[in-house]
Amino acid sequence: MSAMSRPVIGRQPPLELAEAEVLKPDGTYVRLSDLWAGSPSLLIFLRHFGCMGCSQHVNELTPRLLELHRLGLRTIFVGNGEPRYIDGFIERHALQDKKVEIVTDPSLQAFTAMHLVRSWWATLGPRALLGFVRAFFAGHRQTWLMGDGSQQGGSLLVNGNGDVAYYYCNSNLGDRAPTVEVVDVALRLLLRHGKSLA
Amino acid sequence: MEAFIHVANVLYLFSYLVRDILWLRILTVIAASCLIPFFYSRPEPLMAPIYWNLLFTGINLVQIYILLLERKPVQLNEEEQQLYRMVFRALKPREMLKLLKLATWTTETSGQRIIEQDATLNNLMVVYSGNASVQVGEKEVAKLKDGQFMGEMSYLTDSKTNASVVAQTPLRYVSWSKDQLRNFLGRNPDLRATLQMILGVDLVAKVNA
Repeated sequence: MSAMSRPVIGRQPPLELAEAEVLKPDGTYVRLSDLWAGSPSLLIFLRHFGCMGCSQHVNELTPRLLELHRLGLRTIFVGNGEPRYIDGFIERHALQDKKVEIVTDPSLQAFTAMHLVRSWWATLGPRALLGFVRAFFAGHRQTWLMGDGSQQGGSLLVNGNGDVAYYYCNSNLGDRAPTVEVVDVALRLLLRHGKSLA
Repeated sequence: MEAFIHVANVLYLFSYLVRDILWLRILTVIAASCLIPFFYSRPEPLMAPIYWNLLFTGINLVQIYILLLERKPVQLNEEEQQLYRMVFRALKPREMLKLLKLATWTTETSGQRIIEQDATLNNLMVVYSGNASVQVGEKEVAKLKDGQFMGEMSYLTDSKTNASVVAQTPLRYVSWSKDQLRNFLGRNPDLRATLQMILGVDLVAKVNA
């Protein structure tokens, strides 16, 4: 695994990312690489747990989660607030039965290893405000700050061999990997790794 | 002439109260039509507001025409209706119609090979009626029936087929050219997402069978 570099498609994720430790809801630590080991995995790095933009992102992904799980994809949401915010996040987004694992990285070591943007301009600048307005018109509401407000999110898809299949770094609050693009890549790698189908 | 300004504003008031965009635009057009004579009847006709209102009215008339076209009932024949109910319920009827315009209906006799193994497949297909056998070599690995896709793996992965499909009964199916379909879906992102979901559901059903 290469060090000090951003994830590159077709290669193993950077060492710092694989070794980054995140918190499970019960407060125990787990390495990210242990979460994606042995199975194609989609990691969605969120902003804080109360973020409106992330609420919209999760809302777009949720209808596909069970289907992707049944095809063999593990989905992991990585937040950056305290573990005590995770239960509320699950309840707000009705994720109880969606077969998704939620962890958090208050130290931001995983976010840094992913080379994700950390900037107040990305949270409060014009593009971010436009994203905020779009999310508001889509019916999403801002709760209070539940993590680092300047940290932006991203997406990482790791195939069954532990190589990066997709990487996206959100540029601001309203930016995210297009769901249809992520699912396209996920379906392709699941089919290549999965059973023979019709 | 003073009455026109009051009539126009009452119409604007009603346009703000309605929730249907078509009614909103119709009321706005009528209101603008009342404002134009009012502005013209001033001691010095106010041409700037007249021209702006003419422009807004023109835009609204075009949008009204588009809305009326979109609201025309969608006519699907019996087969199309059945296919829609079986497979494409997640689409809006008008989206189904657009998709069907690109489709080809084919009927094959029993025993006919629909898909060859290790071939480059240029189509995505869905079974309308009949049964088919999915074979790897000479061994049957799955059966296909009404409402199931054929060639979806090849479509999603862009790789050669890993199995052949042989009709076990007279088989009627619908097919789309991969390139045409991709171009079309590229211009219709919402439809692309919905079709992706439909294919995903089909895949899940096959994997869990």
